[in-house]
Amino acid sequence: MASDERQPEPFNRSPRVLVVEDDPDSASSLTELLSCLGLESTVARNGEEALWKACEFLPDVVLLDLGLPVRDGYQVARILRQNPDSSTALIVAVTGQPEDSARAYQMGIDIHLAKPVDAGTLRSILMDYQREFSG
Amino acid sequence: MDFLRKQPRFILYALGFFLVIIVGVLDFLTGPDLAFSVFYLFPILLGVFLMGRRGGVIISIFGAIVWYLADILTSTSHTHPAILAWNAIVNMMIFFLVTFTFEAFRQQRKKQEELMQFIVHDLRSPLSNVMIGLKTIEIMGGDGLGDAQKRTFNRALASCRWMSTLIDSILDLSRMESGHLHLKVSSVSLRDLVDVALQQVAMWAEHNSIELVRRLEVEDQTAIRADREVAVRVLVNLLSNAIKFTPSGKSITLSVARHEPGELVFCVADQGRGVPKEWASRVFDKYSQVEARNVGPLGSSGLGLTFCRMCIEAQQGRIWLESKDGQGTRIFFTLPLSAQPVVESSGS
Repeated sequence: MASDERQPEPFNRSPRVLVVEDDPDSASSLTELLSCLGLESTVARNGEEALWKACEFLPDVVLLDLGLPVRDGYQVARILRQNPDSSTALIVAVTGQPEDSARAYQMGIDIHLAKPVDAGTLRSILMDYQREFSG
Repeated sequence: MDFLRKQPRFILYALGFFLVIIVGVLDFLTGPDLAFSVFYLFPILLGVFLMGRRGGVIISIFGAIVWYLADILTSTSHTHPAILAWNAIVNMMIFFLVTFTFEAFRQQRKKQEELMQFIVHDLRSPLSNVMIGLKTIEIMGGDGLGDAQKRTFNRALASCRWMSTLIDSILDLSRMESGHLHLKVSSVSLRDLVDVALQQVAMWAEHNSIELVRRLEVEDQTAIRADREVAVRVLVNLLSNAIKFTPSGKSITLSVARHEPGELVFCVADQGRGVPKEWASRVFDKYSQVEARNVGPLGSSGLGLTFCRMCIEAQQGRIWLESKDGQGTRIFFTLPLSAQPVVESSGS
């Protein structure tokens, strides 16, 4: 969960979710679920795109695939944390490697979900987050 | 074998040379009449197994030299002095042939294993999409979904979860066998371990209308020595298995009690159809799965139980199964108690 020192301002809208995923099918299935849950989302296909989209889209939540080409998810997470536009975002890592969890937490990742993602768990994470910060 | 593989090269060479010399001495003592060259193959194969082709070649050359010396020392006469050298060279060729063939098989097997891991690993993404897709359709349907449709969704999701467990156990087992799964043993809170494991399977059990009973017969603060993540997976594996084989409306009990001094015994008891007696000791064996499927309605539990056994044994525990046909199965395993205070886990 987001740690106390990084509490974002409460907002009166749905959280914006940035989906960072290189596999188009996975990205689509996530954005469809998010739109079904009433959340606004956008997709970044790689680390570079994720970094500039974070500045443009100002996400509240980042769903981050850790197995990205070129710049991996850990590096993206570290840079997102340093960037003022995304430093308070809830970063949820999605990965096929369960043993990466220790490193994920070190890099500022709040929640670690192993693939296959249990949509029920993801839904409750997002709903809890929305409840917590919607004022 | 794993212990040997971790030793430095020079120790492995020393061991290989030592074994070759022992064979050489025996060759010398038994005299020239008794054929002995096949025994040189043992240290050579061990060399290939532990060090690859180069190790095999070096021990092969050494083996041929020792064989040659043993033959010179025991031979009385030969029609030509070069015959012994010729025989030594022929022997060395045979040793090389065995080395190269064995190494080729080993490499082939390694590649197949890597390919299998790669393919199995890649199953996770599409499976993830299926699960997310099912959930999305379910949410889209909202209150308009009838009970039958909900049941269908839940069954489909439960099958996806089972498939995910199967994938995990294949990959975990490969990692365990290739020595890539390193255990991080520390003091772990028993209560935390049991709660996390039960939480992970709670939804599945609920969908199947199975009651999960938790019975801790030890103090709440009890700590055990284990790798937290791996121990949780063992429990999740055993509970998942139990859920799979227990009919709706029945219950599964996870109990923990003191056992031998310094040891806790965990028990996962289901009310499923049980395991025939002759299979009780074999369900943990990797290859018995195939046989089990062929002989009767035992059902496959994937490689989960094999993984559990390897994990528990690597943590100084034991695992066993007790079952009566038709009266459920109880799987027990032990883990050592810890005298140290519990180490907080960042992963919780």
